[in-house]
Amino acid sequence: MTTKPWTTALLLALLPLAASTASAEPPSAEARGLEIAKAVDRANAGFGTESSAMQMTLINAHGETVERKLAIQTIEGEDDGDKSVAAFSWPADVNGTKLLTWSHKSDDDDQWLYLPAIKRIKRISARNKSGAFMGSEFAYEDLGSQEVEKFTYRFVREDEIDGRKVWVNERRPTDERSGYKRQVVYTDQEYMNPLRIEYFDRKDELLKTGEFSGYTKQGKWWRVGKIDMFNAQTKKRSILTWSKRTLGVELDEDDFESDALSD
Amino acid sequence: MWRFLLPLAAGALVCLPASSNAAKLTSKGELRLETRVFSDDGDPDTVDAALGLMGRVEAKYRSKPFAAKARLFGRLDRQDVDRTLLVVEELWLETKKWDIELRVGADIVNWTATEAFHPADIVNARNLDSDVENYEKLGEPMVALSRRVGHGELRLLFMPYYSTPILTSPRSRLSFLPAGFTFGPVLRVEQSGAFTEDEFGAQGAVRFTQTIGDADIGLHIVHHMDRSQPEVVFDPELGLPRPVFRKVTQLGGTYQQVFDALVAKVELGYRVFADPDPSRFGPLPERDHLLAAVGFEYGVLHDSGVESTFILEGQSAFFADDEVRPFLGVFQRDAALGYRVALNDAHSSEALVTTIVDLEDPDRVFFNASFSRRVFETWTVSAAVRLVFGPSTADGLVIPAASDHVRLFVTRYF
Repeated sequence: MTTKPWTTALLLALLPLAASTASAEPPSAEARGLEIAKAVDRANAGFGTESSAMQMTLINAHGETVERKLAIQTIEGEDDGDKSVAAFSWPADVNGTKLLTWSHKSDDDDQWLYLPAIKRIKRISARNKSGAFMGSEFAYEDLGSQEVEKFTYRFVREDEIDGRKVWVNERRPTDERSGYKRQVVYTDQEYMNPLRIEYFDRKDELLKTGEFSGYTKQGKWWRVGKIDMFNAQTKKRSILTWSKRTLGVELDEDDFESDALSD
Repeated sequence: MWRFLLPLAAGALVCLPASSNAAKLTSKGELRLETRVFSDDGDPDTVDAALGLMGRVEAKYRSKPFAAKARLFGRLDRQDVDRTLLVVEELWLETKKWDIELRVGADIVNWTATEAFHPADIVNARNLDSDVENYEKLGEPMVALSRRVGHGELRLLFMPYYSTPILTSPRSRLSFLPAGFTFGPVLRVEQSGAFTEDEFGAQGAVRFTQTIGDADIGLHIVHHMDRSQPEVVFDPELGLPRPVFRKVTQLGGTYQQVFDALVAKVELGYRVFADPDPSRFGPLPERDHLLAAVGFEYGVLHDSGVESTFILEGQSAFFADDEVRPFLGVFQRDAALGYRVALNDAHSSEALVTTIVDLEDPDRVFFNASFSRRVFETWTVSAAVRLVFGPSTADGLVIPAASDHVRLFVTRYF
């Protein structure tokens, strides 16, 4: 079953009313937070496959920039998490390197790295998910599949960002090896995707803030066009921009097996 | 061999669909300035300092269900002309029909699981005058058929050409022979025991892989002309030492499993060799053996974002006579300890330190330290130091002692 975003938004708006009618008690902040997370998950589900090309600009505290380029293909999981292949093309020395990820809802992800110079497919541990992705301000866990089960939730409030209505939801990673103690997610009520995420480190200090913009609609799904991640502690910034993005593209499931990484 | 393959591949490339919506042609390459400086051995016949230029180019075409790829690798060495080479690493055509993939041409396969020891990864011949932990591989002409099976594949290889490793030049400090001695022509031993100088014959391999939960399993059978380190016989007719390669059948496999931040790895190869006809050089020693490697890799991410990886591996040869074991390869009963640190910075700065100790003779120690870093967006620099402690090579084909050296690479990618 698929749910239109506005329908979901309406249901969520009416949720406290419905709950109070049924039990005469408002839902707890945790229950409402979880319901929002599930609604967001439902709104973004059903895309089947996705292919995108991305550019990442790393800006250090002195304003110097370096570029990264990669393409990602994703195939949606039915019972478990998604499978994705990230193919790196820039800097030139990593051109051809690929990272295959099988996300799981509760277990650690499975990951394989393909090293083209020696044509080796290497099984790697996905445990160090808080590590920097290609030297950027993004961690692997920021870009991985955001399964509902990987967090606990607490609804904070409704708010507005630049005139757009958002739910402010706090989520805490269930995995103690996450680099974060908590994240505060500002979810746009129409896009059913974040406009902002504030990431707090294990000491509960603000580590970085991601600003999500440039949303476009493909079919019934909204997809972000740009994420500007600013590290409040190092003053470094990384900007991830999507140059191409296609949902429902024809992908071969065999290409998401580790043996298929080698060419 | 290549005079047949190259025109065939070129013709097939021309015949491939010229364009389609999904057609994609990509290319890349690298040019590297290499220096390798050994400690002075006082021998004027050896080359202690080498300055070379390495280049690699690659072009790939894909228009489903067809694909083609060419990857060539070459090195010009100013001091040691014997190190100058041109290697076809990949030159193949591929198509897919009824879920079966057919690939024809030269290819490199990598079946390894561990970092330092590679008993399962035996298909390709190597350049034995390169990095001993990761020898440069030579493309193997083959016909490969593969089919997806569950979360893995079944792959069949037919290899008609007896590829031979590139042996160290007589002037190389990594040479197996005393300086100035040269090898005579290669001799091969067929399954029947007969010696031959033929370059063609039937060889094949089957490999089955499967991912089950957190584990990757690979099983293989390879029957081919051995292309690891050769035996050496003295040919009285030519008055020269000659490298001998025997037909070998290997049953082996790899196993990798992730336990949290630990990755455990096993590589095995049980090798059964053809017995040479004793009438020519007398009886040669039995070489059948099992080579087994076990490894562990443990990663730690520090609060600073720096990532450390600890590597512990061991390899041993079993069921081989003590007199034969030193001749089976470089590492017959050794342990490797490694530490890799990746700064996770914008320059991908990384350092690796490894030590390999001969467990039968702990005086033999092989130490390597390297550092690499991206400079600008298209350049990398890397430097390495290698120290080899221990007695000389008189008792077998081990890493030559006194082959300490420093390497510096500056690479431009395009």
